[in-house]
Amino acid sequence: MKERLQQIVSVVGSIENVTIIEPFTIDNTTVKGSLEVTVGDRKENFTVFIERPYPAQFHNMETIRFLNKDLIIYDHVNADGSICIHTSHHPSLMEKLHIDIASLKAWMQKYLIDQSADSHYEHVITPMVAVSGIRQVMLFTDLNHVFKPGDHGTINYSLLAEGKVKGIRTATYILQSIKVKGEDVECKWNKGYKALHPHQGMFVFLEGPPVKNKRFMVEDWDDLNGVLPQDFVDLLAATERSLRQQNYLKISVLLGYPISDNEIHWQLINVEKGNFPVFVDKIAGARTIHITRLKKQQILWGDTKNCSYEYFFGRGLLDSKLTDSKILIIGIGAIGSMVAQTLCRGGCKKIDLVDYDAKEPGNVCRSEYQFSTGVNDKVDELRVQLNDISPFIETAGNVMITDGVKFLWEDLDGQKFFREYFNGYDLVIDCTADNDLAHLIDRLELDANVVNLSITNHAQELICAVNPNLYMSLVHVLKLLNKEVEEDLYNPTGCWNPTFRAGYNDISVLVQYAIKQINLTLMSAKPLRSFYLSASEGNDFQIKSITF
Amino acid sequence: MATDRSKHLNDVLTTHKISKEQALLDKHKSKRDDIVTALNEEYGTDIYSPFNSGSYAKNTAVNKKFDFDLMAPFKRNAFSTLKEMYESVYDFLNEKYQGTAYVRRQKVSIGIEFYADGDGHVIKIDVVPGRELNKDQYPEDRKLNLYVYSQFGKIAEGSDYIRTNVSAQVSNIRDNANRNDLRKIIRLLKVWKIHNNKVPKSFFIELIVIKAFDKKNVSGSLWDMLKIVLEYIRDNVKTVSLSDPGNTGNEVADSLSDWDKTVMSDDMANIVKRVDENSDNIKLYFPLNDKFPLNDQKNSYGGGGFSVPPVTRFG
Repeated sequence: MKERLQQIVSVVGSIENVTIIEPFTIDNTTVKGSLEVTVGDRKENFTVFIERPYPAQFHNMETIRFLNKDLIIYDHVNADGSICIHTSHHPSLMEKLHIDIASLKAWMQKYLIDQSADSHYEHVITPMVAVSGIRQVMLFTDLNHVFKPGDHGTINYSLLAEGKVKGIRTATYILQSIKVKGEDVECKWNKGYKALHPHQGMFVFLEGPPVKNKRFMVEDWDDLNGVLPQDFVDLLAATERSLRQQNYLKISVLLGYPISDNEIHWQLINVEKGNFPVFVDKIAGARTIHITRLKKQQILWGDTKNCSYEYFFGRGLLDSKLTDSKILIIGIGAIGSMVAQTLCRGGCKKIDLVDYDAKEPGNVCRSEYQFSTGVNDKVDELRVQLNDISPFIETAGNVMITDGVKFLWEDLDGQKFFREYFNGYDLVIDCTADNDLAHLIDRLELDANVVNLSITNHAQELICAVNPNLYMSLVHVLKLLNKEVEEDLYNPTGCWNPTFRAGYNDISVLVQYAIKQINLTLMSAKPLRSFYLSASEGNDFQIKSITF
Repeated sequence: MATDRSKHLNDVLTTHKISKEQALLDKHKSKRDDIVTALNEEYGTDIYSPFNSGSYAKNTAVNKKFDFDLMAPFKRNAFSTLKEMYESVYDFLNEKYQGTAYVRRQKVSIGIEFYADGDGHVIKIDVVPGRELNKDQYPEDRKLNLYVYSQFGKIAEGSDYIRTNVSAQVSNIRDNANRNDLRKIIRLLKVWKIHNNKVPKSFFIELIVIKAFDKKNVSGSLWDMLKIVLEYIRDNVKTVSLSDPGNTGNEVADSLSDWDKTVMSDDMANIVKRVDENSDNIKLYFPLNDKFPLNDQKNSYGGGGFSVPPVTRFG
């Protein structure tokens, strides 16, 4: 450790415009000292802590900290006065020190001297407090309402799930609706989430976040006297009185404020039963006035997350021509279930599913099903899973429609019905590998885009045929591939229907490639074309795409 | 097994010969005559003689998705506006064929699609109303103004009209018919268009094929010639000017949007690439008409009028 200390002292001492003003020492495994750093005419002192993992990061955080509590009002300074810097990786302690101090100087120049503003919004730093040992998180979406400062009223919210984060019990709630001036403004979750059991809470809307030092949320109710509307303070007191006989742990209060011209944010405050932060203040005068005020008492801030569609899929989503499409997936075995999940995670909002079959344990290894749910209709199980993934997806299931197509084909009314049924979708994805169905659907000459996806044994090829001319393209590609009747199929014990051999990885790599190709085509607004993918054999894996 | 591309293309032309659908052709002629009689009775001296103006007249028809185009030339004073002419013809045909056919307003024509008869035949006749430019001028030069009912490529709906000479359009193809195999190539591209549900109008295809023959030395086997034309379209469709032989002021290239031209160029590129790579691919783009199989047409999977895939794909 001594050698490490000497190395740090030597490097820091050699950096231009940096002076050691308190010698570096070792405290347990942490190296600590103080520096004066000069940028232009500006000189600032920083206490420096260098933790044991340095120069490595730890949990995505730098293991060197530069602290100066006097700078807390400036951007990118944490509550403890540490400057928030993220620098590049370097395995050498010497080089890393150079990089980090250069980054500190850059922070001084940008935020201290130039006082530049970031283009993106930085959330106010809010100290989270667990209530009775349970951390509370509230998820919300955009609300189709223009709130005004002073608006207040009730909210409905539901428990979504309970879990643990770093050993702390964590309850996640979703905001369902806000009642403002008699109007119920609903969050944009799908029907499944809207049906969760509601609890009631309160909200108040302010013109801005109640902060100290620009970016730190106030921590005491007393700081909110004069900030919260008196009507709302009175409502808090009345709520406590009205719930006196009720059995409850806490109520949730949402505090909202605008963070841009078209976006608002909500913060969560928990108020425990028996510990409402209100008291009646008597103001003596010609007549004594009784006024409800907020106590000096810690605010139990919870956590909130904006889960609007734009944030939920902010890290990446498919092209809007897919996400805004009404999609039908027919056949949800290995390929269909992967397609459904990929589209769902890609932001698609409407996916209906068709399959007459039940999921069995043998399906799990190469499709998007779980063992834990046992034997179920595939349609029902996948709908639950899609709903579990995205609160914005609407799904419906049908186990009969493909049978109906075949039974009623010769009936002209039947053809009309199925033409209208399929044309009710923008995109029909047939993953059944059912040649009869492919032929019949092709004959309907649908206006909807139809995509037929299937795979050959050992996942050697994936065939994507599209309309118009879907069936002919399918036949053509299979002829080109010169596939004979397969003999090397997998015959599960007791199963009458042999199936192809291929694992999850073998199939999904082709399915993802195909969806990527379809998405790219739609992004460029070009018409979909039939294609097939051919996976190379041997160690040097490659996928070749042939488009028609 | 490799496909002899030119032999296949010749087979495609054979199986798509209009004469193979003689019964359907006769029914079209009969319905056309009915419509001509009806128009003459309804409009009397306001109308000149209606005439065939589509692919059948140009001898470029194929027997799939077959229809007739019937030009209805009106006198200048028959209607005060082109819109009035278009709506009058629509109202008349709709009234006359209600209950026996679907009558639709189309881009410059009124489509009549008769309900399927006992043989399953569907007769489709598009009536294109046009009005002479000036009183008594039509018999001199055959020029007409057409009403544009809905968006036609870059030509806006309702706000514009097309001045043309349909007789000259028909004779343009006829005049070029002495060119070696020009009409074969037009028919092949129409087969491609019909089987693959492509956007370009037949008139556009006809003109761009003629242009390719003008600009390139189109010679060799049937595939060689087709390939030269496909490559010409691939490389030039986005910029080519196609003037209407009925009115050199009309830019027929404008009947296809820039976007559709890009897609057509991609289509041509794909065909050339895939067919060069594997001759069997020619069958996908230019299929035989399974309704009229050749004597030597064998199905790889045995039996039936068309191919069926083996059970070798999975989902």
